[in-house]
Amino acid sequence: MLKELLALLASSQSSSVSELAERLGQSVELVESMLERLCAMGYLIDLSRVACSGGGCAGCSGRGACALMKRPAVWSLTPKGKALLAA
Amino acid sequence: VPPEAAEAKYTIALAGQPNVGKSTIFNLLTGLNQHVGNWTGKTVEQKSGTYPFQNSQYTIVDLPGTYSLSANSEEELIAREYILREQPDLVVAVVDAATLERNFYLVAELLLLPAPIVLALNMMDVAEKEGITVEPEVLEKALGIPVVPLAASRGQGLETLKQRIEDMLKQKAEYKPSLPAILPAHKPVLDELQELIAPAVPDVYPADWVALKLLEGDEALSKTIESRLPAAEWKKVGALLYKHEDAVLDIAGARYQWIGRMVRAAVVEPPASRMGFTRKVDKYLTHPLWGSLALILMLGGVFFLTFSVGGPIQHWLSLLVGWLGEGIRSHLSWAPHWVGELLAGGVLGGLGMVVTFLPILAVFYLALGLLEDTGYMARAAYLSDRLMHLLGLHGKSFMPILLGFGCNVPAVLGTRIIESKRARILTSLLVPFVPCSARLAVISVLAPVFFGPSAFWVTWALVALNIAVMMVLGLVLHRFAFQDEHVAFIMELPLYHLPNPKTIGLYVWENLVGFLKKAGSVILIASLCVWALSYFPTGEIQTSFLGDFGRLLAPVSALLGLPWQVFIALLTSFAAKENTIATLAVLYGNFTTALPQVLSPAAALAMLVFQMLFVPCVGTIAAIRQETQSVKWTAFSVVAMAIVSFAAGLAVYQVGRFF
Repeated sequence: MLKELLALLASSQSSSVSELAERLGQSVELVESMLERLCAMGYLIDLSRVACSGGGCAGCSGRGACALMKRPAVWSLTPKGKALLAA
Repeated sequence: VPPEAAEAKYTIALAGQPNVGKSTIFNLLTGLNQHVGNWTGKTVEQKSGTYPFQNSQYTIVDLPGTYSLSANSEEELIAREYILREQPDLVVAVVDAATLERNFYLVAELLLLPAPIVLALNMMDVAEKEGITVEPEVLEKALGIPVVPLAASRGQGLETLKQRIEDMLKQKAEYKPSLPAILPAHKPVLDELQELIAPAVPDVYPADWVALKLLEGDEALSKTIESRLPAAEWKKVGALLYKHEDAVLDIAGARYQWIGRMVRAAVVEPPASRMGFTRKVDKYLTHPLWGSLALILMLGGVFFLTFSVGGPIQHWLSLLVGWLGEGIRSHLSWAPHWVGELLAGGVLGGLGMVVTFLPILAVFYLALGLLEDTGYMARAAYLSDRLMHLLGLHGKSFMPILLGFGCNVPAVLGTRIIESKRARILTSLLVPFVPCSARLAVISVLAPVFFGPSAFWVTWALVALNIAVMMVLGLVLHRFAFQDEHVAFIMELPLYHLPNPKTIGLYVWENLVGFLKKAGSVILIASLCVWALSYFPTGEIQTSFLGDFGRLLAPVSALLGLPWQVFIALLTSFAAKENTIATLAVLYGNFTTALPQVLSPAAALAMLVFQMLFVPCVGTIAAIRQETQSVKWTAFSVVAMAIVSFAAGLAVYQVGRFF
């Protein structure tokens, strides 16, 4: 099921978790959980976390407010994920 | 029953993810009979305690919160090593009933270990509140292990849990766990692996579990087995594992299939749930056409609310600042003239006028906070990605561009997620065209000064202009940098929910405090510099240092229909975007009444266009220098934005003055 998810992600242009969940016939929560697992395994990367870890917020006057709101995750394939699909 | 009278002693391990109420259950079971220390040789806290139940004494060991048992962290390693080496009589797996999909992966792994499991289905009250009905009896049948519903925070279900543990240990309960399947193709591989590693598996580890973990790529176990096997044998193991490198996805995939089955069996979601509501609303709000229209309306609504509510309060406060300034001047008539001017014109004129805009900013951030906290902003981002994709701008430049709406500095630093150097540099150059919150705040302040009730249309058009310029440049970026690169995304769209007043309040507060801190540092210093340059050496602005410099710029600013004072105010936004407001206040006093008399509507529009597209703040430029590692590219960015902003302002004024 995880391979299927990776393949769907790679073939789609851009989509939401609910669209993927619908295509897989699974719940959104389950797909989110799988995406997080694939991140932990190194096949996916959460771009929102990487982009925010650049250290640029240190001097920002709005960082306190920014930290209050949960930023939605944006998952994308890593080179490891791409290599797996290419194999 | 006092512990001394207990007949049997049992050890129970408490396992679960973080934040599932494990500590609450532990505390309720053990009361004051607790011991806190550290796991041997580790810095992770270990808590254990005891409780008596029906002539038996139970020792509970609270395992660290973990998401799996894959040795990815010290906590995961401690949890699984404890279960394998210390062999507790039973493991209580605590899960959050409201998020079973996220919690069951750990359960799937726990079931593979030798200790029997009792499932503590905690937070039943939270699940119920969220419209999720979990049927414990059905889940128990599906899982084949005892399932106990709990609401630990209310102290509900603890006695049943104790009883089910007792029944299980005294073999009064049925225990036939349903395990995640292994693909038939992997069974012979596992058998071969098990045979190869058999002599090296430590006594306390089940050999089939070790083989499975090796196939999953478990590094800690690989090291253990490698150290205990002859090199030639380990080479064979290595070759087998390499050949089935992707088996880990099948194994984990099978666990998710198992989770899906269990949850589908036991969870009933009513038709009118939040998920159902979200799906219905998203049909429109993420639709390319209807969603885009909704986005435009939302943006317009934010500005309309900002101007109509915040504007009148700002006007009243600006009158107060003017009145205070006059008061300062008259009270300091005995002091040298420049002292009164410094305080009334420099400090109060610049900083004070900026502070009068707090009500406008408060309403602006309140509206943004509401959109963010309801979950709408994620849809706006999702829709933006689709629109950018239609225009050919996609790939990893999307994320930094999205961040740029908050602040350009982290957005530029965020370009490091882009692997290609060329694409990274070009995205860094593109990001400053994204209207950051400071640019939007300045425009929210200036637009109503000139355009009154039409201000929100003007503001909306200015934002659209910036996005249009960015997209045109994005097309170039796509053509030259992202050719043939296809990067797909999946975006999380949280469920819509009612905004939390406390979160929104904090969001507005944090933004205003951040703004005030900026006003008290960068903006104050810039205001004082502008004031000093406009006062000395003669005390008159026309004959001041700034006046001399301004006259040099006058022919250029005249092309935009702007007096040199306004042009200088725009240039000071180089330090921080808000400086435009402060400088206008220093040079014009209450500019909300003065400026409409010296600027034609065409010139005012040219000024706003220039402000929106002008060179970013110095922090962003430093970030561009850092990310591109090139003075040449940094200079190019500054010059390009200066040219684009001037050209756009010029076009607006020269065309607009004929209307």
